[in-house]
Amino acid sequence: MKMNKLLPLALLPVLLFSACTTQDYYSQVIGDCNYLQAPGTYSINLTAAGAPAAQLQPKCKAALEAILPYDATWATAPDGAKDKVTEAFQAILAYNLKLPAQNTILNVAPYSIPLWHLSLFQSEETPQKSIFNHIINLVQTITYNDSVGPNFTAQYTPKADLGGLLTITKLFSSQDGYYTGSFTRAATIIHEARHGDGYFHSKCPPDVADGIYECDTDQAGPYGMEVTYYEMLLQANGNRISAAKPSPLSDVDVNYIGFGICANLFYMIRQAPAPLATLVTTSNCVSQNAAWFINQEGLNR
Amino acid sequence: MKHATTQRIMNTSMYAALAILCLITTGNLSKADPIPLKDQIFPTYHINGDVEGGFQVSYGYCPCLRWTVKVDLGGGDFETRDFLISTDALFRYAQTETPRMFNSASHSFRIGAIEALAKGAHVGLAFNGVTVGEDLDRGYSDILATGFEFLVSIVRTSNMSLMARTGYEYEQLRVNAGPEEKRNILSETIAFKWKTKTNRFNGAINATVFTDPFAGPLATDQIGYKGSASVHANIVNLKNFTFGTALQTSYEHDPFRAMFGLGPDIAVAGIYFDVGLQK
Repeated sequence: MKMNKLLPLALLPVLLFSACTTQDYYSQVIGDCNYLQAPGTYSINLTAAGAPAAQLQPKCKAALEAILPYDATWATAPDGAKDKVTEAFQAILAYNLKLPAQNTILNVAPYSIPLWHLSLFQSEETPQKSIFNHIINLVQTITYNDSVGPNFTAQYTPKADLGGLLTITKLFSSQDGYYTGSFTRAATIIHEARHGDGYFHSKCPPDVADGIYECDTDQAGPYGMEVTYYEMLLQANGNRISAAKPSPLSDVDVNYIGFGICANLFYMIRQAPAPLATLVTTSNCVSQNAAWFINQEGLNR
Repeated sequence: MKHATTQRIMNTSMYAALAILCLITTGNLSKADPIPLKDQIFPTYHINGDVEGGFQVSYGYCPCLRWTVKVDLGGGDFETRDFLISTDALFRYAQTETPRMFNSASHSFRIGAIEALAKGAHVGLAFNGVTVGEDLDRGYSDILATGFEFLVSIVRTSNMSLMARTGYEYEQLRVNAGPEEKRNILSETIAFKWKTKTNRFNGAINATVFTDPFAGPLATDQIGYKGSASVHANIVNLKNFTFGTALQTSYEHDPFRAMFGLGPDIAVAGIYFDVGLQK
């Protein structure tokens, strides 16, 4: 048999892997959704979902609902719960994201942002376009279901047809209580989409999450993805824009975002670069206020 | 700087090829009765190409599901009176993909891997070829690797072989897009291969310990180890065509990764299907 008959075999992987391309949903909605939400505060005006009302402009809400694959279960969800999901997607696409110099986290441990995350956030012209399109292409259905488990806010499940099911629970809307910002919910969606890359959790230590399979081995997983998102959010939005124009993020936002970084590194990620692991442990940053994060990140407020 | 490294690798590759050639030549010249050159070099040979696709699950460094594809071309063996020269593929392309195939999780090219075993002396040399690629799951990019192994055949029959392999591997890569890292890895491997008489089933077991003695004082936590086992069945086994399936599992502990805050333990299990053509 001549060797040239073997050559078609070499083309097989090209055929296998060329069929899957991502669609650009970002460009369909950015025109209606390119605005920043009001800086986060504490509000006692709760909706039926147990959280402050979502900050959604009507045109953006319509544009996003046209592309987000909500199913019929949302008819049973509390008032405002669906808007909280839509609001989180708006935050993902509207806020600039920026990698820190030398890809540090909390201004320590150069090159500690995982290569996978760099690849995902840099696949298109901007990080926010990259991650928004990545998520939407991975999610075929967004469903509301309160029976997932008492402590779950969301869950990503691959379906038999290789589609992705994003399940949202009641806790998703109310996870931050009276906080009006949407970044922790945006991070939750980014976390769930990381599961769509085929990445699942590993076992926690006995004193974390009852030792179930809810932790990550290192920063490359879904919790690390949240950390990367938070860090890029702070880098792009945490500084004062000009002498007359303040940062788009309030101190309350910075505190929640900083807490998100520290809590994930402290509880959910079992291995991090040594300088970062040391900082998180010795500074007790899960209990620190906004001033500590502003100082640590060197933000110009 | 990069040019110098590439040049060093090319020189290393050339020395390996020369060493294998010398081994073959020396072995053949040492025989008393001359054998026609044609018979010395190509008395028996097989050439094959293989495409393998599969699905794997990993745990440890990346608890992940991945599609895989591997293309091997130019594999085969050339058996002379004194030497068995073999390669599983002179050219190998390997790729893993996320479940929805939107993103490549790893891809690599390997060129030129070959080994020669002196049948009488039971020793040989292997050149690992030159590998370039990227592995997002491991956090590695700009990977460039090559190396040699000294082989000692402990047991060799028509159906099985047990071999000790002492190796040196040079590897350069970037971890999480950071500065270039260089590794000089020394390894010791015990490799066992078996097949049934008709080659309906075959398999392999490997166990390796390795270290980078140039990374610092030799310590227990710098010694890595890895092991793998596989069973392969040729479901269709015609003269020039095979269709088979394989189960493979591997485990690796690499302390190098822990220095960067990456999970050092890597476990992978997979099921693979392959189509092969051979002459």
